[in-house]
Amino acid sequence: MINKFEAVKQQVINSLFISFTGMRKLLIFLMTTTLVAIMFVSCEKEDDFFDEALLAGKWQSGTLFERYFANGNGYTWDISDDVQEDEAQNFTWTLVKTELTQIHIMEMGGNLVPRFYTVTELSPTRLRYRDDFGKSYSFTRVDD
Amino acid sequence: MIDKMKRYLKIFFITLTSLLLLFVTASTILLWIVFTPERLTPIVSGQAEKHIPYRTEIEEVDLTFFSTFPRFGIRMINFAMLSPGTGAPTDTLLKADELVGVIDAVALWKNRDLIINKFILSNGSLNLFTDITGNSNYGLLIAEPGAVPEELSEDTGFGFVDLKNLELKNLNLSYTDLSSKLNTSVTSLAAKISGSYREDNLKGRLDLSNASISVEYDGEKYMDHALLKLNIPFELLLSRQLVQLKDAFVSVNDMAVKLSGSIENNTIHKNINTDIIFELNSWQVSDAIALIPASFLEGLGKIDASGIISSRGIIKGVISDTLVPLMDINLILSDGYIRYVDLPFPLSEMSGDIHIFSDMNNDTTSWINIRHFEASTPNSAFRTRGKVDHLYSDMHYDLITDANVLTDEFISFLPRDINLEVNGRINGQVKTDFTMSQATNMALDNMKLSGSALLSNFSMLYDSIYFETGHSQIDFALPNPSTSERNTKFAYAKIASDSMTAFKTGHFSTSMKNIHVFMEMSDLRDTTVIPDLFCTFNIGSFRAGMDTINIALDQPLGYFSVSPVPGMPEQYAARLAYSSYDVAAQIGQSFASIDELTLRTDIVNDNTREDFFLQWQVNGFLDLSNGNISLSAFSHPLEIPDIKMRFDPETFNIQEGTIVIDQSDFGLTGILDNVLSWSRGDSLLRGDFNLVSRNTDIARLMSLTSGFGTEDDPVNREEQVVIKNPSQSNDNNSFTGPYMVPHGIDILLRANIKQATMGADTASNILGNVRVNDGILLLDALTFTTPAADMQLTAMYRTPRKNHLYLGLDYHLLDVEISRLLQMIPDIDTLMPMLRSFEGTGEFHIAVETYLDSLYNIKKSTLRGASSIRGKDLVLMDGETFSEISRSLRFRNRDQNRVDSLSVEFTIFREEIDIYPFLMVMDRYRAVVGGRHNFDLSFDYHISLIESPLPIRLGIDINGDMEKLQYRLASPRYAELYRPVSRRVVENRQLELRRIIREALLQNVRE
Repeated sequence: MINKFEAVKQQVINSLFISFTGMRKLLIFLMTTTLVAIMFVSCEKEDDFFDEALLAGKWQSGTLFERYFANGNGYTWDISDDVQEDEAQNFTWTLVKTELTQIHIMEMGGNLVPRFYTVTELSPTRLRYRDDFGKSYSFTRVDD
Repeated sequence: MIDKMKRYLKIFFITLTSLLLLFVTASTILLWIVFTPERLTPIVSGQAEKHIPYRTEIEEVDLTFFSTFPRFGIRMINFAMLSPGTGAPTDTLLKADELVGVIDAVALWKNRDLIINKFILSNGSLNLFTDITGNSNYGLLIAEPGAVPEELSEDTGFGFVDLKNLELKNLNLSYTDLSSKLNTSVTSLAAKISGSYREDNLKGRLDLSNASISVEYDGEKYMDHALLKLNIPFELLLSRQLVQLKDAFVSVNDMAVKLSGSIENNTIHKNINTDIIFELNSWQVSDAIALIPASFLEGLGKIDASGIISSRGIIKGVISDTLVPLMDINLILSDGYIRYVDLPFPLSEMSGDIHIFSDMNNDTTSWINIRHFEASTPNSAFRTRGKVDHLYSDMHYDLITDANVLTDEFISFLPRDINLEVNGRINGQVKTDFTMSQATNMALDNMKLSGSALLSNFSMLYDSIYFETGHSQIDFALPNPSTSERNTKFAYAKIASDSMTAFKTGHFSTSMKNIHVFMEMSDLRDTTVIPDLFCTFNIGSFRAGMDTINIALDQPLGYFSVSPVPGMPEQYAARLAYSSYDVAAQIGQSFASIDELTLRTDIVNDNTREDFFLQWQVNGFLDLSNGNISLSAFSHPLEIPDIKMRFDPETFNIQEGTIVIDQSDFGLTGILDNVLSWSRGDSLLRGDFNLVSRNTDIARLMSLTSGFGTEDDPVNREEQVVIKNPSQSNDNNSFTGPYMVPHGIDILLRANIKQATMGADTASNILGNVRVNDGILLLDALTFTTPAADMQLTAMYRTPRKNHLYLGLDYHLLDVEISRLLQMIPDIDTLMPMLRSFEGTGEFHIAVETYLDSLYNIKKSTLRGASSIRGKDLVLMDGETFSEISRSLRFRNRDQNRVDSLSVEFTIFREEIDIYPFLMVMDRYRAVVGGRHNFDLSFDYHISLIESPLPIRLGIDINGDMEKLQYRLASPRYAELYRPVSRRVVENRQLELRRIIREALLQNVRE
């Protein structure tokens, strides 16, 4: 019982020691971090958005194709896997400001596979976006 | 008394002798002194010149007494009658070395009766000649046609003419008629003619004892020195030109004919009335044939014939240009023999009894009745009887023929262009009743043919088709005499045979033993109408082969019938009842055997349809026992212990059905429906079956049905490849190409499988539905138990084309050992390698879909998936990742740590696995882990340490690959994830998505 008490007491002392000696450094760290955060936030283009009407159409990135319809539907296929357009897989999409969301709906059971991208460029001829892990995609519009 | 008698006799003879001497003396004086040749010759020559229109020459005339005793006669020596200048080979018309005539001078003087007691012509010749214009060298001797001979007319004044003896000795007669191209000669003629004439009636007898006659017409010899004999008693009524014969005898070369009756020349109607009875006995056929002119036999070549012909009959009626008398003739032939060039064998032992009745004109009174006729060849014999009538229009044969024929002998009768060889013996009887026109036109429906034939060691080779039988009894009849209600009146046949074999080299072969077949039918030759055919069969054994197909049946028994559908005569209806034992069949390298097979079926053919299934609508019942099928595509036979099935055009109802394939067994019952509608394209082929199995080899099932119903798709440009059982446990499980799900069918299989194997994996108590629906194979909420866990699987396999195969899985493992899970599904280790670091039980839900290529390789661009894993009290194993983590984070227990709970959701998209941030509690830490794991085994994880011994929240980024992991302290990204009040939009969205993913997964879990 005594040993247990001693152990708890030592643990409290250690915690206080850490708090006391690291308080100043921690304060400086937090202030710096806050400043940097504010700077980063202020530099972000809060008003960036892309016109979703530009997204409708057929886009190609190498062997990968995506087609977006204005009604929020779309599909994708990759001819390197011997998949033709009429065999493409469906998704729904939304574009809110720069955030492109693709919800891929599985054929069996209605299970969903969501994908989130940040659009970095959208023009009548080019589409670029990247995902949360920094993987970028670049498409060019393809005429039918 | 005696002496007195002697004395009277002596006186009588002396007196008689004296008178005779006186008479002789007086005659001698008369002959030698009064009527000397010198006195008589001029007188007779003068009279001859007076009465004979031709010049005559008489060397000497004398009076005879002793040679014509007791009468006086006149004898002319070297008498000649000349008719010069006619173009005849000789001027001599008649010539005789001696002519002797005896006339009853007293009767002529007293009563003017001309009684010629004797007229003898010796060693003479008569040469008659008519030139090409019709002029003859004897024309002056004959009266004009129709005129009554002057010497026989009443003007002659003879009250009675009696020719008692006209005798011709050694007379040579020739008659040449150039106008009719007739040349006749008679040599060595010896004849006696006697007769009398009174009041228009001439009676007499012609007895020609010897004559050699030759007849030549138009260069053709009709008789050549034929020996002619006549003995003709006759009576001639001159005014009617009527000759009556009685027992007249005519013989040519000793072929004798007896004649009786009359012949009358009707000058008014210019015809001849006959009423003749004739009889000829025992003519040698060879002698008769010798009389036939050579040109008549020219086509037959040399004829070797013998036999004896006898005949008797009546020839009665009128002979004219248009009429022929009625002939009633009996002809008997015995011991006949004939051989000639065109007959390939001699006919011997010919005998016959034929009755010919004919007027040679009228069918109603003309017929031939063959009482019997028989003949033999060296190896055959036949006998016939019956009647042939309508001889002069459409001959009608009503015959019964018995034959015992060695067919080899008759093969030469067949046309050479028919390449037919026949051997063996046919013994039987045939009844024929038909007309010639029916036979010519093959009007079998009007002919009557029946019979019975026994074929012994019979073989036939036609072209390249060979048929043989040991002993076959064939009964047949046209028309069918039975009273069957079927429309099979045309014919029937009944066959009983010990063996039959038929084959065509390189095409087919068939053999049967102990055959009993009965058939009756309508006329099969009329291909414009559907025939009626009924056949029963009972065959001991049947073997047949064609190409690579062979079949063997023991005791096939049953019947089949074909007939037009009532009311629809253009459509077939067929019925088959069949049973047999020990059925064996081979098709190529595939074999089948059945211990017992029973089949009853009704078939209706709708020939207006093009599709096979629509053309043939089948109802029936199939009962099969102990079947065994070895297909070339399978390495193991298909055993069928029992099948009982009813079927109709729309439905197959399997009442019992058990199949064993290798180690798999199936009990199948249920209904296959819409067969006809499916074939019409109106609906899917639907099936609802219950499948019960003690053990099922899934790979074998897949190979069994692979590709059925798949049409060749132009998109299917991939070469076929060999796909092996995923387990790779047995090379024999391989089959060609991907498994293609049948199209156009909707088959539901309610499975109840005690144990199923897929290579090394085993599942038990499989319950659920397997559905094949128009190109989709669906395992619908199939529950089963594996050594690892109870599982629920919903799977969809769809095959749009060979290189684009859809596979969707909805897999739920409840209370599963994670290590067993990884063992069962190694791919999960790829998806989430951190699971290798856990030990314990949990639940696993995953829904994943992808397309596969023809080699079943995942098309990664099509891969989609979502999964949820839950675990409690998991033990963190000594995995590589967490060893590093535990060391870096200074875990208390770096060897083993317990994870209180684990709740992970992740999604799969193409080659990326996104693990949604999840809370993990272990040791002194609470951390939120999230990130991405790629198929190339690279990582991009982030761990936010939200509770730890440290007073600050830390984050660790882990990235790189397994070979080179990089750790880097970072700000905790998920610090607020599990603090609701502090969550941001993004974090809320991630949690919401995790909830949606999990709920979507769990909604498919069956309670």
